Amino acid sequence: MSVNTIEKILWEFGDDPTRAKAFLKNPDGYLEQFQLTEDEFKMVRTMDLKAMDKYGVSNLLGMMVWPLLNGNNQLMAFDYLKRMNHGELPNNFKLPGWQFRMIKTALWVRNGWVGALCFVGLKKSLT
Amino acid sequence: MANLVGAFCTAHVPLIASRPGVADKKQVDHVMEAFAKIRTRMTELEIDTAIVVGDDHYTMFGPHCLPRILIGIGDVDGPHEEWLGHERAPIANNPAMAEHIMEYGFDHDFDWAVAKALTIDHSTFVPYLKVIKELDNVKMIPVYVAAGVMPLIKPKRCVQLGEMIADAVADYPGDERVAIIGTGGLSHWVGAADMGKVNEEFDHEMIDMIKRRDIDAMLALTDEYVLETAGNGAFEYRNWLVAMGAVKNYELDLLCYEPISPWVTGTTLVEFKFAA
Repeated sequence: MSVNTIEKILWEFGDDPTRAKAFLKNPDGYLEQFQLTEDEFKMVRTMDLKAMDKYGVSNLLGMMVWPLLNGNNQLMAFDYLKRMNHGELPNNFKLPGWQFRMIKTALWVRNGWVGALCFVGLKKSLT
Repeated sequence: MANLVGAFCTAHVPLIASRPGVADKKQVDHVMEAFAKIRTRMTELEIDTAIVVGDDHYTMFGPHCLPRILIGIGDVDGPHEEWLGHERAPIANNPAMAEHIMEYGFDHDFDWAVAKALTIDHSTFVPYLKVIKELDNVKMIPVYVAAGVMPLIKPKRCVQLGEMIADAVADYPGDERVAIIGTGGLSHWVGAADMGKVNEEFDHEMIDMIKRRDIDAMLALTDEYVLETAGNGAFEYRNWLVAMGAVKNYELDLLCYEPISPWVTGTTLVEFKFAA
């Protein structure tokens, strides 16, 4: 029941990726083995990077597990940074304007696509 | 006895090993030229053993065990991180000297954590890749200090560690010619909301302190100030303090400084040229 436990959970994802897979398959069941408060449980369950950052969880771990849980691709760093900035992607990497706009669009399309898939999945499970 | 004859500090940003081309070509070229200058100097100085000081990034060690100071005395390989794009391979250590430094430390109030077999992360792998690997017959002794993961080692202890390592080398009954290489970036926010920002003003202040060997000024920096002004990655000046502690008098040769946002760090490489 502390930031240490959350760090342990995240570190173990990196140390043994089968743990990350087990978490993705059954997050509630996976997290039952750890002593977490309700808020901590929610933070990890939803991978709320910003909340974990505020809580004092090492940013090294947040950045390490994000691609493990969400797929490692060219957009990963930008997606991570966007979530760390309340949904607004800053141009911290000083990319040329056209490139920055392209990445923002690609993220928007990708997230829209993921959202649509989730909606279809939800609809299917309800019917 | 062995001689400490060279001292350097280098960036260790992982993108140097994995995708250097994401940054501006001119800046990348400057950094690579600086690495080449270090290789040239290592050759001129006839270095055969390099003690490389890095810090773990929650890669090698976990919440169950976080060593404050660690020395690798046996088999070394690396890199730990697959995403660096380099096959894990053996790295030549100098186990006799490493063991001597370990024992010397035990006798002088340094209760190291000891790695009998160590897979290094990017912090010591990048300098290995860009300097040591490209030279003939240079062995590497890895040393790690807690400069990346909380709780951090006290900066003063890093200076003392450097002093002790220099004494241990001088006490070694071999004829090795040794260099110490501190590693790490200047301002950088690793995994934080400001990741990618570089505080050039802080970087130049830090370089200036290093140039003057103003260790007192560096020890006066609070962690709160460094975190706020230069990010969590800037705590790596502790690694540099180890190298600075090992060399009492030097003239700084600034080989390059580049604020490289795509590499998420203020990037610098220096040589501490031994003064009489």
